[in-house]
Amino acid sequence: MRTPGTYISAVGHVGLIGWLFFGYGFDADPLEFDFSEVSVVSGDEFAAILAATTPQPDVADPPAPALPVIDDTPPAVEPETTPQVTPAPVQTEAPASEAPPPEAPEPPAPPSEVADVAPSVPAQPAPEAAPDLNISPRPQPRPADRVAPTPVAPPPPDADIAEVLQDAVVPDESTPAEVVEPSQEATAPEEAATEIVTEADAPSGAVQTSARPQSRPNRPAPAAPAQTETATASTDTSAEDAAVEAALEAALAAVAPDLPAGPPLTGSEREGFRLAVNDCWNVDPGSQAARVTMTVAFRLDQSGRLDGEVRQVAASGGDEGATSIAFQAARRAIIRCGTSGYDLPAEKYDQWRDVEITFDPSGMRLR
Amino acid sequence: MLKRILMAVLAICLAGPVLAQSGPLRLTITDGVIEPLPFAVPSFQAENAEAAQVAADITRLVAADLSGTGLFREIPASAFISAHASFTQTVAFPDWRAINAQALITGAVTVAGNQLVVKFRLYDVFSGTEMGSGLQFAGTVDGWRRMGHKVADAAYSRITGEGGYFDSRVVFVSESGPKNERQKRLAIMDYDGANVQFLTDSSALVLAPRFSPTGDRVLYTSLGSGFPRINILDVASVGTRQLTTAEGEMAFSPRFSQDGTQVIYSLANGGNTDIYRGDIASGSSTRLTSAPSIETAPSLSPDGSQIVFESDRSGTQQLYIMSANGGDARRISFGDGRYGTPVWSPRGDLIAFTKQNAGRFHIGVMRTDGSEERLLTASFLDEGPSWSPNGRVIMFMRETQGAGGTSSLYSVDVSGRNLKPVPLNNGASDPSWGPLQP
Amino acid sequence: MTFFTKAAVIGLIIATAGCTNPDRFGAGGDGAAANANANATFTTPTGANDPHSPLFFNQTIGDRVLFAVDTASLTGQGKTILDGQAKWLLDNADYRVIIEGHADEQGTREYNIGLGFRRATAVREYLVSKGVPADRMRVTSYGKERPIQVCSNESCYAQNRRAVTVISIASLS
Repeated sequence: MRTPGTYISAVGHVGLIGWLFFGYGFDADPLEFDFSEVSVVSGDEFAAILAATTPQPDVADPPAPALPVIDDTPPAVEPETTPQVTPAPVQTEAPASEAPPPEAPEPPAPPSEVADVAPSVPAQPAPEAAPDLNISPRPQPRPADRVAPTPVAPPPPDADIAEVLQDAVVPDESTPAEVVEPSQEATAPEEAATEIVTEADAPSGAVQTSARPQSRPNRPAPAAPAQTETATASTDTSAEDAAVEAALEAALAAVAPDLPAGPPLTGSEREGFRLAVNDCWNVDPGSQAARVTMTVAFRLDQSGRLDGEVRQVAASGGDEGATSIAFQAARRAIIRCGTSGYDLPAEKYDQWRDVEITFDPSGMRLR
Repeated sequence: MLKRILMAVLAICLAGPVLAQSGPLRLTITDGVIEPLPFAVPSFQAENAEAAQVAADITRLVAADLSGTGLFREIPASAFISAHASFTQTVAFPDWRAINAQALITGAVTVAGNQLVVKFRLYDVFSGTEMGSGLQFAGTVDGWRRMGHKVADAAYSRITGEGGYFDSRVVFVSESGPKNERQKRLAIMDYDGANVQFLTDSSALVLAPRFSPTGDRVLYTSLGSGFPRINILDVASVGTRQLTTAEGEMAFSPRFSQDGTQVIYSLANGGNTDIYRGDIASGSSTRLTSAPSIETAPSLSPDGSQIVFESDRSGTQQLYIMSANGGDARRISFGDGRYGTPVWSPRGDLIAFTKQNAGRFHIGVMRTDGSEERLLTASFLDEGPSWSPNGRVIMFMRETQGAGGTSSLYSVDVSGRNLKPVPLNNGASDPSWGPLQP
Repeated sequence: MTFFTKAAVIGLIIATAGCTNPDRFGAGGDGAAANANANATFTTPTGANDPHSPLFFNQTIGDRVLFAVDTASLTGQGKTILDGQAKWLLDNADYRVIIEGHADEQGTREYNIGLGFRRATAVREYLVSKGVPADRMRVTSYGKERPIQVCSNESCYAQNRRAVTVISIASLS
């Protein structure tokens, strides 16, 4: 079997694989680049066009550069004001087939005859009879740049905005915005409101009453986290072959030395972890990605830091683009909030080595 | 010995499944935060001396475009750890992570005569990858703002997964003079209020211009003759002509069809205002509604199959949807107050409207079946919403109260956040947001 | 006051009175206040006292009728004014009119154009019912674009919700 051919073949294959593996990265080829031309009518040119309301094909200097230009906003070319769209065949749809009679000159009648689905409303709200002050005393959250599950008061003016609340460790000589590891500045969580406060919600300028639309449902309280059951990792105590057991221990030790299994995480430990990721999960409720429920999986090392890549496990509710954006947001959340390691009990490492998180923005969508 | 090795191998094989049996820790997160995404845009590299000023200007414009959305927050250069002076240099991601920059935009600018070349790259800092490939725009120095908007659009689009809107224009009515003798002129501007150009003089009262789907023409209502008439204006040549309508009738509230060949509009005749569809080339028209009430402000769905409009057939102004060929209409607005000026979102899922209730005006949105109504603004007089080309932002006019009342343009994110005025020197009303420029 | 000054003033007044639609939107600063003053203080041999002059129509009979919020129904007072208008138009058959409908600012632009049109049409139909030939009258609407009073409360709004009969072209014959 071990013929020279085998060796040559093996060496050849290993070499080829090795080259594919490494060589590809060596020649540092430039990143891809796309090119696009933008041609622009300048203000002067436009003024020139305006001055000559009737287009003068020769006067206006063409803005088109010598380069091939993709778009066409040539001021000089179009002598006609008539739309250059192909004159569509007139009246493709015969009026005879139309539901409403084309020319039914009906006498003007009081506009209340047409039956309507809706309850007809009395014509007019009494115009400013009395400025009944503040019918809606419902306290509105103060609008903030950041919306988070729990309201946060505006930070003290000298504190940096940080993900985690920190105390000032070293009295710093007030160098602003220095995020250097050793000297920690006092930080405070960024000011946040608990919901998007639009102008229509915000308490209006005292005189006028801001009527809240009745059809708007109240924002539901944050749904209790769906406690997907973690398969309780039971230390398999079935009576097995002692030899296998021993070998297993040895193998496990080989794979991950000192791997504490420990009991399942407590509710508060899970909640702490959940909240930690939560704070970095930035959702744009106006986007299509806010319709995607995204499940990602990743592995943590024993210090609670991300070990390897974040993988998409499942996604639903959006097209490819929206899904991709939702995944990026989820990945960013996990990476950002885990930069200094998640605070998880080391003795239970086995319980949180592999993590699967489902990001479900359905409660945050605009409504 | 051999048996023990086999056993160990077996154990290793078993180890995986046994570990997997414990399963990963599974969590569900339902409440994230809503906050602007921090980005950094170090000043674009000027590849030659002539490019220095333009490079700085474009950098500021890109930052302003992105910050202006309310979805992004610029990290000031004073916080930067690494300078990133060269476009070609490798990105030091840890330096950007340290200041929590989640997106990084780098660029370079070259000027040769009147020719301008802008290159840029976008990086996802926390995953340490480039988002999309590098992009280069070439044009003229005069058009540097458009180039900057193009860069910002590309960055916006890659980060949000949705189309941009910075390289777009808005046609509107520029206003001056007192309330009872207001001068109105058609004007056009960049989305951010820059480059205002007038399209008409102030001799005729003009109302409610509407961009064509490609942005080449504008429909508007003119009272220049003393009677409302619909005019069509070619943006490039500034040539105007009247849309043919019958004598003795008044036509107003026009909007283009999606292909730009037809107009849907209101026509008043015999004491009654109804909605018509007309062919621009031939001037022929078809009547779409025939109720003895005011039917106006029609707007087509993006697929062209339906029309949303306002009618007071119930006694007050409400919103209705009918087929693009007319026929039965179903009412979609049922909240308190009066609803008008509906505009179908370019995404097709929402309808923006003006609502009057309890002495105040609101700009709001609802789904096309009338559900999930949300009011985005509230003031003495807000009116006339117009969608950004990507359906993300609504521009509208706001008029202040009283004898000295003036109007101005505002924009608001569809979430209701980021309400802000469009910076303009004169009064302004009736914005119509055009398409993204090619 | 010299003779020439007097002549100039009288000439100016006559010239102004001859305008087909003086101050039709109440434009020019003080709005309708100026109109009212003009009516009270200036009494001229022709103009408002000449029952055949457009100024008499505008000021003595009254060229406008007012409406309640979001309606086009004629009030009793409005009908009285229109009766006078109809009589004048029948007496002065040489004149044509344009009836302008207006709305206050509490409403959207397009709707207010429709509403103004509805008001103008209500006036036109009333005048037709009193015998004024329909072909002497045209209607138009300015919606909320031309208020005569600029404040933002009901006292102004009430005057802006109007239909104005504007004597358009003098003497057909």
